[in-house]
Amino acid sequence: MLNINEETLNQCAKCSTCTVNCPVVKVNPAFPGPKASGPDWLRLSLNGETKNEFPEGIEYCSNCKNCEIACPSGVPVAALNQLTRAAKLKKEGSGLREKLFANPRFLGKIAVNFSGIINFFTRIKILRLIGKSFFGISANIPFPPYAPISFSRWFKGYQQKVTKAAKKVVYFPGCFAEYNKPETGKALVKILNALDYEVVVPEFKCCGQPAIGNGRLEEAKQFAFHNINELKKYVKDGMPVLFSCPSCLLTFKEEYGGLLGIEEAKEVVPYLYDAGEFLGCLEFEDILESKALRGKYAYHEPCHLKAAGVGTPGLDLLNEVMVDTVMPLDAGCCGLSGSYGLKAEKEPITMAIGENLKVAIKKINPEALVTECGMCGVQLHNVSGLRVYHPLELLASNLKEND
Amino acid sequence: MKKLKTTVLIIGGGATGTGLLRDLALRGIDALLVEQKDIAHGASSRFHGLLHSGARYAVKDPNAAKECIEENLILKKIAPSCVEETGGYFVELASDDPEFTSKWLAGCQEAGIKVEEIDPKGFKNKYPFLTSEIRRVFTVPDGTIDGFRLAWANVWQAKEFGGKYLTYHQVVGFEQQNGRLTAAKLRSTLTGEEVVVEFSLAVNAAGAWASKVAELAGVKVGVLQNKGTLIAFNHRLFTGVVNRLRPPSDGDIWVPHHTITILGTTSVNVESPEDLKPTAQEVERLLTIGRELIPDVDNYRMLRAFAGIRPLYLGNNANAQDSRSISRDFVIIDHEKNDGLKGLISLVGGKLTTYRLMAEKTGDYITRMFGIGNPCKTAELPLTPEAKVNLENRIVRRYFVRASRIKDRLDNIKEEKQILCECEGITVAELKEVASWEDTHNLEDLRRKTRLGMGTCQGLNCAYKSLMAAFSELRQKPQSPINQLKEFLSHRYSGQKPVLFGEALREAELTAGLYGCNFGLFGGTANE
Repeated sequence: MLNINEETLNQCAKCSTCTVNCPVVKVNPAFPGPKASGPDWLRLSLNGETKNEFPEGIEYCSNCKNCEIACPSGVPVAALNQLTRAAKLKKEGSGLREKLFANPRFLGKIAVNFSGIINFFTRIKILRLIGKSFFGISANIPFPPYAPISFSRWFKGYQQKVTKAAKKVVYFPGCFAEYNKPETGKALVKILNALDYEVVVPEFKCCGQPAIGNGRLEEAKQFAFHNINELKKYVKDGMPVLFSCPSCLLTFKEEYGGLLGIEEAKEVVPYLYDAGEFLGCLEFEDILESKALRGKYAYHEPCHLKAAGVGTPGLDLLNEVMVDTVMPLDAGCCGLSGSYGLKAEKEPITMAIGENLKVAIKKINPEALVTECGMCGVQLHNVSGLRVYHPLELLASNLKEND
Repeated sequence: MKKLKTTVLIIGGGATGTGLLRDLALRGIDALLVEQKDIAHGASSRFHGLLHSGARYAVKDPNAAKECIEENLILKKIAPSCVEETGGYFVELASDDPEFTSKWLAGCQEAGIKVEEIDPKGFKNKYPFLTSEIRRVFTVPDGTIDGFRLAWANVWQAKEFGGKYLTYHQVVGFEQQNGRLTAAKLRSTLTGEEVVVEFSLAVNAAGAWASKVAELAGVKVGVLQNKGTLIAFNHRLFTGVVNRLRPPSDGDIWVPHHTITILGTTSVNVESPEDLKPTAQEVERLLTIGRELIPDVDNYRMLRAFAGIRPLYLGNNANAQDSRSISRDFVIIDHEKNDGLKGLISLVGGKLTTYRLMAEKTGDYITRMFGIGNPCKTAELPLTPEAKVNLENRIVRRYFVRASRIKDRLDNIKEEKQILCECEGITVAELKEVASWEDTHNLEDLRRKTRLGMGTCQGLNCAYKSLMAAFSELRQKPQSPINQLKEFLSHRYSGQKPVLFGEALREAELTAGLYGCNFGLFGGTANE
């Protein structure tokens, strides 16, 4: 499965930078840390005394990737952790909760049809408590609400406003934009149209990040193969592929070829862009109505955007193309880490990590918050009560001829 | 001056000496073992950790081969915590002589060593980093053995049966009366304090130091000090021991040992048993041979190189210099017969795999000599408890009879569950408990008993932390803790120096930086 050989553990110099940068270790002593459950454990597990065992607390790794970002030796620490975690879950068997969380597309497809009822019920405390005792789902961290119609359905009925000379780009909406927040996708389509780009949205499956996070690597691999094959049709003509979700981008860029060890991933990686990264290279002057945002905003950098290694193009766009009113929160990981924080036993960890956000938001005292990651947004709203936008939404709201 | 009295004084706390102490204690013979430093600080811990099946000696030394396989089976039975039944492979490369293989197969059959041929393709698939020149592969019942644990297991069991031991005491002279040795003068190598031990018989089991001990008594024992250098690789490359199918020569055995893999050895005759410095040339020599089996061996991280002295008994063959041609047989020299000196025998030669047999023969000899003592029980009585391989039993596997207090600490003191030596997975409870034992005096003693500092970081993360944890527990507090740290690190560094490139160099620089900034010590380099 993993395209990481035992050599990668040789590069670990035991500097512990990964542990220092791990948000979970700071708040939860039951997690031995990324190094201890990654390269250390891999090395120890080759030893007769510990083989067939798993490190205690490995399930607390949230796969936020901060350890990999920090490692000066290039050790795939988080990937090693995921591999061990997956092996443990496979051996011990995972519950219905993991199966459901691993496949948000499956959930979304159903839920989007009954979004009103589902959003209503997921807010009822007593039902949430039942969910906690039966499925181990957190009773306090709110579920991201589902949209009344999915992005794809909106997109099918939408007439793109482009000329015949328009260039084409591929957009991968990801499950969150697809089922929970289609506004993000709509915004991107409108911006791209205004710049005379036609958007293509092929048939995708979930990127696989939730499956990886829930220890279901085989499932993730199936999704990956489907997605890569789908993308290959477009990238062979040199079409760029845009992502509005940092986790989806990271999964395509890093996990397919690395953790999941899929060779063909290499063929598509050069064509993958964060939407902001792609837009950052274009001229906006003529398409914007106004350069001013209404009020003060604070920006949260998602860990997976950091890990994707593209900088903060969304923040840069807002501050460069428009007017400089978006302040970086600079508070580190939000703690939710996808479905991680929705699990009852992880809730205290998520909330403890999220304390940093609370403090930082209070300091800036913004009108609303900005971030690319949908689930980070859930946590931002959770700790502050403020509205959370995707940078693309703010950008699109200032377009000329906005409808 | 302190005075002690014993029937048998055993000089040397290696496998030979501790094995004899156990043997005599089980026979009910009063014995005291003295060791100039710590138990197993010499050859018994400075070898590759191979429990021979005997296959290596099948062609040249059929007697040794037979002894090995018999002892191999006994040790697997009585000391499961010290032995790992890894199995072993003999690999014939395209460049090797196929005729040797036929001779070898015949030799193994003769000695009763179970050999099975396996598919070289499957072997290569299991270990893709191996050369594609592999022609034939055979499995043999080789194993690995922990020299530290084995020696301590002997001592601890002997103690239960009345055996006594005294570490950090060096024999500095003997007293004689009417052509008989009657007492030995010892000096503490920690405090300088002197002790006199009266005995009926002294057994010189000092290994590489055997000539020196004999000299103190005024007799001669011809021991060739032959240095073997080994390289420790960062992790387990193989699950079993890998040997080359050719006449024994330099650098042809790979032994998976706990978390690491050891490649060895070279063979150079040296003047002094203290001459233990591995050189960069020897490392290069080992790597040159290693590349034949693993072509990109240079890309694998080397932790350190170390060397041990093979004490080879020369006998009448006093001028032999080709160390590999000297038999690995052992001898019991009665100095009364040889030199007319009563009260002293020397036990020399042999190898770790046959240490128990050496003790048995010597025990038999002493029993006959004095007409006291019971028959040998060492082959039947379990030396360590059988502990299944898992985390729960890890502590029993490591410390056997002394495990219960550590288990209590782990169960009852939450903070002590914390892993302190990350590379080897050693908890605070283990370090604190081991530090409190009467035979632990410093970090090096802790290392030999726990494997502290023997992994990837070579002391970077564990040296200062463990000194802090252990300090309050040590019975004799070191006068200068910072010197302890310095000594420990410079020992580690002297092993890292010959492999100071690639990842090992990065690690050493990091260590130097950390200790330089935090303790004003330049890692291990301060003493260099």
